[in-house]
Amino acid sequence: MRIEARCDPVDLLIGLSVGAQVVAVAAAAQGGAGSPRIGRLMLVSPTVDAAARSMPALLGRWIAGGRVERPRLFREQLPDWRRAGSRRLLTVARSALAVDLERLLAVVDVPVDVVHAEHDKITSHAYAAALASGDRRGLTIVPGATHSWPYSDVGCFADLVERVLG
Amino acid sequence: VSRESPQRVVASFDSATVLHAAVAGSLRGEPFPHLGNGAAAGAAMRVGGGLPWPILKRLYTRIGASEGIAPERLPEVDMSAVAQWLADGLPGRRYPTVLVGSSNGALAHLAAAMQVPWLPGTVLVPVSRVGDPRRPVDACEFGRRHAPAFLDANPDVALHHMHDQVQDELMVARMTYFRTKWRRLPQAYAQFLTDVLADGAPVVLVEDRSTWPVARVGERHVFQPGAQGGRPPAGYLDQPHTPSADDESPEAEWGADPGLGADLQRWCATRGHPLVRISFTGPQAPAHAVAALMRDWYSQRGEPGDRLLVPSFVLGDPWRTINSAAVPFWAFFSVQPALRALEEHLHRSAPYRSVDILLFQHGVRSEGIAAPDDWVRTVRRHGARPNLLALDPRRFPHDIATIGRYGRAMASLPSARSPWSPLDVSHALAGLREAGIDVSGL
Repeated sequence: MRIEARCDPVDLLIGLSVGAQVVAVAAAAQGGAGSPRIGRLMLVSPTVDAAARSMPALLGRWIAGGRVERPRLFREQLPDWRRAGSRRLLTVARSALAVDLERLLAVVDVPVDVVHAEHDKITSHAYAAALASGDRRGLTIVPGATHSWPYSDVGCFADLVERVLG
Repeated sequence: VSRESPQRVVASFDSATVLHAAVAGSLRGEPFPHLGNGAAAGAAMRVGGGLPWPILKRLYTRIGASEGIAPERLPEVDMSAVAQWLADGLPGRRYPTVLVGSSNGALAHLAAAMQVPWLPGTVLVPVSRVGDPRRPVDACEFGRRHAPAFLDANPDVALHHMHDQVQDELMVARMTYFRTKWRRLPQAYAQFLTDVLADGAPVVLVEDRSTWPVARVGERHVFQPGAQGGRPPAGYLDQPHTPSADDESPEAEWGADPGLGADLQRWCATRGHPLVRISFTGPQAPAHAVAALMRDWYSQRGEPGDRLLVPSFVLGDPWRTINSAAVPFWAFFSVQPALRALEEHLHRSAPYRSVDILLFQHGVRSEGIAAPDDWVRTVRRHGARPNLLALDPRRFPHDIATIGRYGRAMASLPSARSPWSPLDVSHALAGLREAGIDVSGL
């Protein structure tokens, strides 16, 4: 809603992990009529997999995902989490579980690129591929990568964005 | 009447079921270690594989034979339930096409690259039977006695009873191979196609036109002495105690039943889906075209494409192959005809830097077998560095633990450099045609 009110139109809106849900909410909110203020979505490691849509299942996947991520990632994210505090983090988790990404995308009228990491333990390939199936949708797989791969491979991420923007 | 469960009916070691599981795994983005069996089975294979061969041979034969169903239960086998089980094993989502028909490892890798499913046209129903492998005539008589009840219960299939005492010497002593082909599109397949195909999306019929001399036993029942591998048909038919051939029929394991293709064509015509046919003769035929096509695709992705991987029969992992940007050249068995095909591919292609070789082993040094040294020498002749993956060549052809080890070897292959999107279906089909495969209906 803030994008609509204050910003120029954007060619590409990118969301990583729960951020994918946030950008989908924004794209769904802009509706289908007229010229869209968001031209395209890129959903990187989108959550929450329909097969893990409960707090224990999501927690299990998050722990499994943490095991394959670089140990440094935890240290990098910790300050953000501290700032947010446990209450807000819990709200994020609850909100992520409540937002049904596949339903939102059904009303999104712009091209959607789903990017999935080969070793993503939080989001399954089947879920990402299902989100990517349909008209004006595409799937990209990042070999050897984990859920939070853009943190560790900025170059690859930038190349991918450039490729999508054509 | 109680019905046999589909998993219990079909062989877990067969080309159709294992390649189908490997493709399904790639659609779920999962690697395919130890032929799709669990980690415990993989560990057991690695540990058990270290036993002396005389002991391991008995274990291998017994475990394999335990898959056979009792002949008196054949009337309870429901092939429509098997088709349902195969369709249910594939993730349900919208696909740009679906492959239906002949088993083929090269095309299984292509399906994984396109991220599309494959529905097999032939499956193996192993049946318990103890007998002398050198007396195919006894196996044929066994089939004549027990097959009618199975065929009566399953009017939409044809039985290609196969007996290969050369490559399957260990197995046919304790079981017999009822290879079963659908002559009509199973209802479960039709429903799957309806559910997952995008509007107007093509259906691809995979049609291996290879045939084999057979003894005709009934209208829907033939007996095939021998099989594709290292020995030609005459080499089997000349053996004593072998039924005489009086007909020619689609090859039992790989060949396509024309009835399935005709029925699929009718289904497509009434539903507005174009039918594309990929036709070739013999399981080895598409390997070069698929390798050339995928190498070209890797180059477009910015990969060097200079690493070749030779999957063998069911030993392979399409998902890891693609994610490591290894060019797959599938060998149908570790036999001389497959080795010659690799030689031809290396001769026709720009040089590879390295070639990783997987070798499936039947446990016997059968006629026409290609030994590890044969593969290594061939690769070296073409200036590439050979690497026998997950194999102890001193134990060949008994290194059964390879099945438990190759998953780790595939996992340790370096990852591809760049992100990739599924190979475009039209581009893939056109590429196959350019590489010399008969592709019609484009």
